[in-house]
This record gives sequence, structure tokens and C-alpha cells, in this order.
Amino acid sequence: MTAARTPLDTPPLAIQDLSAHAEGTERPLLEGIELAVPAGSVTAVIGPSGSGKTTLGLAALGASRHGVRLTGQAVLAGTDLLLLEPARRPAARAGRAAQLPQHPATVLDPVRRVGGVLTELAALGHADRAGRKEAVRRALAAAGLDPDAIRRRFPHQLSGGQQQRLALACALVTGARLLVLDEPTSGLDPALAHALGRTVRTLADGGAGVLLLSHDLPLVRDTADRVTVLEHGRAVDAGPTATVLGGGGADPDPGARAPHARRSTVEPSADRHPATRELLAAERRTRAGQAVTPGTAGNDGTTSAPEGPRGVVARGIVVRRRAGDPLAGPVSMAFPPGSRTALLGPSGSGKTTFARVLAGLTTPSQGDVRMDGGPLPRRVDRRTAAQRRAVQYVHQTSADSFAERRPLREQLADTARLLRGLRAEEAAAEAKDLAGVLGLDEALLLRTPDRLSGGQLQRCALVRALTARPALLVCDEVTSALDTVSRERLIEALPRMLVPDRTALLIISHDAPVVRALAAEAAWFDGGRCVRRGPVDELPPIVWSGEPEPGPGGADRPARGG
Amino acid sequence: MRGYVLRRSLLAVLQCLMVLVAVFALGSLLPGDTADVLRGEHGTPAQVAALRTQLGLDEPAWARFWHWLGGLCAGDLGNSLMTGTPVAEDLGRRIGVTALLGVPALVLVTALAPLLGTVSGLREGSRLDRALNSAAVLLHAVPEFVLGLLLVAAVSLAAGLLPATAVGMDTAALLAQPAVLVLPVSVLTARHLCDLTRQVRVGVAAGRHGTVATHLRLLGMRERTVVLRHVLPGALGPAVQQYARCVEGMLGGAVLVEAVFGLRGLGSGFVEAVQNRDLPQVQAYALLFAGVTVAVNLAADLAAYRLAPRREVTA
Repeated sequence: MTAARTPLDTPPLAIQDLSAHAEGTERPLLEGIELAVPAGSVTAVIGPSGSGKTTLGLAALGASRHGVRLTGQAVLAGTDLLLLEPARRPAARAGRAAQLPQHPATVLDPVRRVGGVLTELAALGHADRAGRKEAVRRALAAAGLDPDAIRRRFPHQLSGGQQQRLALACALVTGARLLVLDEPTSGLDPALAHALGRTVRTLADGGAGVLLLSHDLPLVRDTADRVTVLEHGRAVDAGPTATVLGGGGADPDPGARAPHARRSTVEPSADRHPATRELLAAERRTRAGQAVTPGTAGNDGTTSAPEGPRGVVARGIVVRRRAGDPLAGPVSMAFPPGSRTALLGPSGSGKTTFARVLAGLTTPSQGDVRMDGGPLPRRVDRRTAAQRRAVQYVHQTSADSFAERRPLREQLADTARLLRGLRAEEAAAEAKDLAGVLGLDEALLLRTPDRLSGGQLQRCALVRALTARPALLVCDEVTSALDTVSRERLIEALPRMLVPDRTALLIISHDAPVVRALAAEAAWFDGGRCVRRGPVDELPPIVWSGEPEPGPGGADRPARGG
Repeated sequence: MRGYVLRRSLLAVLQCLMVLVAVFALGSLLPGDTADVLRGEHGTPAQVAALRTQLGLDEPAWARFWHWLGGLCAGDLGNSLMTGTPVAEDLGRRIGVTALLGVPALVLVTALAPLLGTVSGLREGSRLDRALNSAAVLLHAVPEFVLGLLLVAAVSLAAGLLPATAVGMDTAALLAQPAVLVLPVSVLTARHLCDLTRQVRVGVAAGRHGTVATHLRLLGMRERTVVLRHVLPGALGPAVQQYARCVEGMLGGAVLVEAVFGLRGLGSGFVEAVQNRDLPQVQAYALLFAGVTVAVNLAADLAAYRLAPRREVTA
């Protein structure tokens, strides 16, 4: 085993006086970070998006984005990575450190089968064939995937949640003693997030050191031993989890709490740093539903106009079952102007597939989509500009939906310019205003996408879709990469940003507070069918707990990790 | 995957059928026929008509198509109208020459393009990369026959190192004296190597900095494994279609290269057949080239599908 290579008392990771500077900017990305990840523990780093979490996660492995210079020490199992030539660092990491990135789908090799890649990675920590085979099996099982079902697949044949777990398996299979997890629960449904939390804890209890970068405070509270709070690249607060994030006390409103917050709600301690208090306060406000009055998420427009259904209507949608498209249907659903609908259900239950059909990104084998009574072509490339404008889709992983080298300001203006015929300056001004509402300032928009964090890009993607003034806005896990402050701001701002009497909202989310705040109606998907529908307020608690529903579709859910 | 293979193969069969019809129609649409050519300008209309009857050219088109198709199934491509010898015999002689030219060139391109493309892509912007790039652009810009003539002038005539021409040599003679083939094979290789190398280079250069490669390095994977197992396969996907063009160009007869070096291969044979209005020969050549094109593209599409399996989602 790899653990034998280094003395057991050497911590898997010790960071000293670590700073990071981007080329041509004054303000450092990270400044004077001191952090240790002892074996057998979980060290969490929290902070708003853009505070430097991802940069820190990379620096811990002796890596950085292009044009970023690191100084200080990052000592991995006794070796200071920053003293080594960059070309020699991968060898120093092999079998000792592993990383789970924020957008797992983008790091899985699209042209290779899952099993082959895992075996290659297993070779980093296991010399013999049998050991490699066993390591692959164990890693897949620990990540909550069925080894036999998945080995021969390609990554695109997996659901978003499965891809996330596969990326975790890739990290585990090397047998590393240090695991760096960057927002591991973004995009996971509550049951899977819970399972992942337990997996992380199990790994730490088994002797691994875990560096957890997350804005998911319930997850941090459940798994982490110590917490460091990051703000503008500086560690402003640190300590044991219970001290920093608080603990104890009864939950004032059990119905409203996030499903994976198994411990209780927390009073922010008055003596913590303001950044910590702000994160905690934002979390509390979101959970208690104070950010929005439930009444504002109205659906007064649900009664259809006498001349026929207005807005986007899907009828009898069936997608032939094949890898990656698990929608059996038939599903019919109407999205009249002003309506707010949420699609709920476990990973791989067909929510995203259904939404993709609406946008013309997946071709249904049966059924049709109509807009104000007229048919919409099934494929987006057959739709006219006006029809494309009608349905706007914001993806789970928005980072790869931007062109690499164009400033965001131009890219955000494209929608209004191309689909609504606005002049470039008008379009840019409108995009700027909307971005401002979501907390993206103008200077940020002058940058290229690679200079923004995942959360910032996700908000940009939302702005880009909103400037189309669509008839239907699909938000597929848009809050998954956001910290609590940004998420709260989005929940508060989004209803105001929709065009009244025109835009219907369709939310796909595993995040109960988001759904409660933004949606009025909900549809629960399981096993490729829509199994339950009704007002959000009347959904049974079982939906929020994230436990698999008894009955069909519940049985083939992946085994929990741990 | 299986569904795609079936669909794509069915399409290839359809394409072949369409080619059969088109090739036959092509012969009927050419102005003038063999009788006109054989009799030349001195033949009286009566003589030409008699010859037409003798050759079976006065039968209706569908009957001629039917005969032709029947013969084809029996492996009979018909007799040349000019010489009266079986077309298959002539094709057989020429295929040998084309293969001697095309196969070595293909082997060279297959081996060199991924190698040069990878080396170049990994050292993006280096002196080596720029040198390879400039050479590729230069070779791409010079037409094949100019390159051929330049080589003949420099290597054969000025330096006297290699034979300049292969006029009158058949397969056996070429095999006995392989030095003759060095220059034509070089020209053919240079031509196709440029495009393909540049395609691989772009893919490698992009993939090397991509998220997949970056993450594998973070996990500690050796650079060599990252490049050979992940970056290169990703770069080969888009290059496969270009490779198909290259195979077509080599096996389908390299008309210009054959002309420059006096080689009697398929390319020059096709040109002669058209000049003579020798319909059975024209049809045989067209069929052969079309068949090669269909087969090569089928193989390329299937390979590309395997190399870029995500197409399953979009296709």
C-alpha cells in the first residue's frame, strides 16, 4: 500500500505561507495561507465563490491555472511540491494525492471506456495486476457505482450524478492518502449528497487526509473536523467545525431545512469573523425561506387563455431508452406564461432529458412540443431564431458553454443581439444590468471565462439566457456551483428578472430551499416517468428527505457509498 | 454502436447501387460513342451504323445495363472496345503499379503523421514545431507535378542519384528495380503527410492543455501515459476523415504523379480510357474508384465513431 512509503506521522499535506499571483494583476489570488491536513481527518475550506478555493485546491497539489505563480510551501507527504520542477510534480503526486474537480463531466476522457482509465490510474498505486483489479472494484463500490455495470461504458453514457461518482472513483483508485475535493456535492440529489458525505467521512476514518473545498455548509458541518474560512484569498477564520460554524440547538422549522442537514441549525457566534457570520446568516435566511415570500412565486397564469394554451406545452414525450437518455415517459406538461415549475427526483430519473427535449437538444421518439399552440421543431437546429429564443436552457455545467478567448461582456450580449436584433451596445448594456443584479460587476465581465470561478460562470450563463426574454427558462441545477451568499441573491433576484406575463420558469434542482423559494408547482420523476405532481407546498416530506420512494424505480437506485 | 454500424453499412450498399446506375448513365451521356471513335473522321454513316450493330450499341439502354450488370456479377467487366482484350486484364496490370506506389506511401503517412503531429503538438511554438509547420505549408502550396519535376531535376538530372522515369516498366520490372519508385512515392507521401500532420498537431496541442489531461496529471499520471493514452486518441478522431481522403487519393490512382514519372497505373489508365471513349473500360475504372471511396469512407466513419463515441448522442 502507498501508506507505507511515508512515515505515518507525516501529515498528508502541510501548506505554509502559500501565495498565488495571477499574471498582470495586483491583488493576490491567495495570500499567506497556512493549512495542515492531518491523516484521518477532514479539513474544510469555505468561502464565497471567487474567494480562491479552487486555486487553493490546485496549489495543494502543486498545480495552478495558466499564468498563476505560486510561492511558499505545499508539502505533500514530506515533499515540498513547489521546490520540484513542474514536470516532476505528477510523479511526486502519483498514489499520494488525488483530486475531485468541480465539474467532473469535463475531466472524464470521452473517447475511453471507464474501466481502462481506472485501471491505468490504479497502476499509480498498485504494481501488480490483481491489486489493480481489486483497487478498481473497491473504488467503484466506494463511490457508489456498480463495477460490473459500468466498466464497459463511456462517460457520456452516464448521468450527471454517475459522472460525479465516477470522478470520485478515479480519485480513490490511486490509493492516495490525500484527497482534494472541490465542491463534491454540486449537482447531486440529497440522497447522493448524503451518501457522498458518508463516503468522505469513511475515507477519513480509514486514514486518508481530506481537503474539502465547498460552499455546502451542511456537508461541511457533517464531515469536517476543522474549517478554514477564505475571503479574497486570505484565511480570515479557522478552527474546529463546531466552533466556527456552531452546533447544537433545535431546528426551528424542520420542514424547511435542507435534507442533508442532519445536525441542527446553527446560531452564528458573535465573535466569529464577519465573513463567517455572513455565510451562516445567508444559509439561515435561505433555509427559513425569508429570502422570498412564498406568495411571490405565484402561478396566477396557470389557467389557460380561452383561445388555446399559451406558452410552451409538451405532449406525450417519450425518449427511447438508450444509454444516457433514461426517459420512458410519456410525459405531458404545460408551462403557461408566469408559471414556476420544478422537476424533482433522483439522479438519472429523466429530468434533464425531458428538459432537453423542450429545448430541442434531445430528439424525442414520440410526442411534440408546442409554443403558443404552434408546433416547435423537434431539433434545435431546425428551429428559427424566434423559436430558439422561446426556450432558453441553462446547463448544469455552464463553464464549458462559453467561448474560451472572448470577453464575457461580448458573449453575454450575443443573445439579445442575435435573437432579438438589438444593437451591440444596447445588448451589452442590458446584459450588464442583469449581471449586476446577480452580483457580477462590470470589471468581471471584461475578463475571459478562464479568469472566472465556476459560480460566477454559472451566473453568467443565467444572464445570457435571461437576455433572450424567453417564453420558457430552464434552469438545470443552476445553484450547484454557488456559495450560500450568491445562491441567496439568485433566489431573491431571479423572480424579478423574468419578464412578467411572458416567461415561465422550469427549475431542475436537488436543493430543497431553492425549489421551495422559486417554484410553485412540482413534478417528481422516478425511473423515467413523472410519478407525482402538485403544488410545492403540498409535497409529502418524503420528497424532501431524499429517501428513495418505495415502489417502481426505487429498487434500481445505486447502492449508497460507505 | 451496433445500430450505427448497421445503419452506416446499409447506406454504403445503397451508395454502391447508386454508383452502378450513375456509372452506366455516364457512359450513355458522353457525346459520341465507340463506333464514332473507331471509324474516325473517314467513316461513312453506314459504316458507323454497321459497327454499332456489331458492337451491340444499338440495343436499348436498359438491355445494355442488364447485360453489363450480369457480366459484372460473373466477374466479367467486358472487353475493351479499342483492343478487344478483357478489361479485367488491363486493370490487373495497372493495379500492381498503383499498389507499388500507393501502399508504401500509405504506410509512410500512417506511421509519420501521428508521430510528427504529436512531436509538433507537444512542442507547440518551438523551433522544431515551426520548422515542421513551415515545411508542411510549403509542400502543401507546391502542386504535386511541380514538386515531382523539381525532384527529378535536382535528384535525378543534377545529382544523378535516382532514375528519373519509369516509362514502359510493368509491375515485375518495377519490383526488380525499386529505386525507380523512390521519387514518386516521396511526392505522393509529401502531399498527404502535410494535411494529416497538421490535423494531428492541432488536436494534440489542444488536448494537452485540456481539462482531461490536466486532471490526469493532477492524479499523478505520467506524461507519457497522458499523451499516448488520452491526448493522442482524442486527436486522432478528427484526423480519421482526412486520412480517408488520403487513402482514396493513393489507391484511387494518383494521376499527376503517374504522369510525371511515366508510370502506367490506374490513374493514367482512366485518363486513356476516357480519351478513347472506351465505355467498358471507363465504367470499370469509375466503378473501382467509387467502390474504393465508398469502402474507405465506411471504414473511416466506423473508426471515427469508435474514436469519438459521443457522436452517439448527437447523431
